Amino acid sequence: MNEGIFVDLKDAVITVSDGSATPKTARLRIGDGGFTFKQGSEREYKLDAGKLWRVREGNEVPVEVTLDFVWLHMHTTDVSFSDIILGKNGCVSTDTVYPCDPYACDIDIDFTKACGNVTYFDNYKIANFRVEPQDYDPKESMVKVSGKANSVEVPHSQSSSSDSSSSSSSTT
Amino acid sequence: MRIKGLDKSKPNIEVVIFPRHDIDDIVIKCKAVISYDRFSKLVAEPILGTALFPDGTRKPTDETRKKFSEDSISYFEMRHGFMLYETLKDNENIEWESVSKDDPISWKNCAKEIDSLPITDAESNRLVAAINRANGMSDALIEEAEQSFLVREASERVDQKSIVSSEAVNSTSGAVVNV
Repeated sequence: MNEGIFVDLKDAVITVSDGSATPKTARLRIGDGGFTFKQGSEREYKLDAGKLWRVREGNEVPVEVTLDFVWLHMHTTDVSFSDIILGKNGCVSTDTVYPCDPYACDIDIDFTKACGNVTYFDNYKIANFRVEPQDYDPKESMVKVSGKANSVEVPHSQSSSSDSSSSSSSTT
Repeated sequence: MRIKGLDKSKPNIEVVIFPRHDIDDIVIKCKAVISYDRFSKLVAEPILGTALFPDGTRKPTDETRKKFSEDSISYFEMRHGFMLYETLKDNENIEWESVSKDDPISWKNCAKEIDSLPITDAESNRLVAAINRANGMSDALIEEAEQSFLVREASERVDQKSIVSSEAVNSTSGAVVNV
């Protein structure tokens, strides 16, 4: 069974944004915590007379995401983190294709690490994330939120820049 | 309010002329910027932002301070560019390439464009000095004007004293007059 991928959120910055023309955002500096996501479809292994024969892709499965963290401070526009996660206070869904579907928001998780004169950037992008309201539990600085994104994977990109302005990037 | 009968509709104008042999001399008029209202309408003054902390308080963070510092630099670049643009905008012989009247970001290019004018470095310095003089930003000129004012006042005082002493000497009764 796929246990999912765990990412340590220490020193990460989480940005949640809605789908407004000028997105409403909340950017949280994380002290400690983790981010887990399960992605990938189940493959079907077909048998022929009891022997492994062919492999077929199974049905697509939405990415399951869990965020559990302690935040240090938060930069927001005119709404709170909870408003954007839950779609309250005038927040607009990021799902522009099916705007009448349940509310969705975008989540960006960024890591910045400096080493010598090189700075490394890591980014996980969760588009059209829909929270499971019963799994949202904010307690002062501690937040636990679970939900699904209407996609089969969480894009992950890495890049770096040095003082001489050279940069490279890769996306998975 | 007026000074010497002048109001805001008559800004200070400095004229610089760059002599040319093969073509007409280049004449540039630098007109003082009287109002920054248009700038204020288009560009908001930077504000030091704050972050929300778990205890409910809001305080600046390194991030908001850094952003404020960057925004301030950008703001003053745009303001300087606006001053350059507005000072030179009435010159029909000047064509801006990357500067647009209503695009504050493009105003940052004004200084670069002035540097790229087909004039020598010395002429470019004269033009910048004229822009500063027109806008009352030339320290040397302000100091010169202040010195000239103080010298004039001092000489007027000396003149007044000499009149008083000569009247005292010429008085037949011997009483001091005009004291």
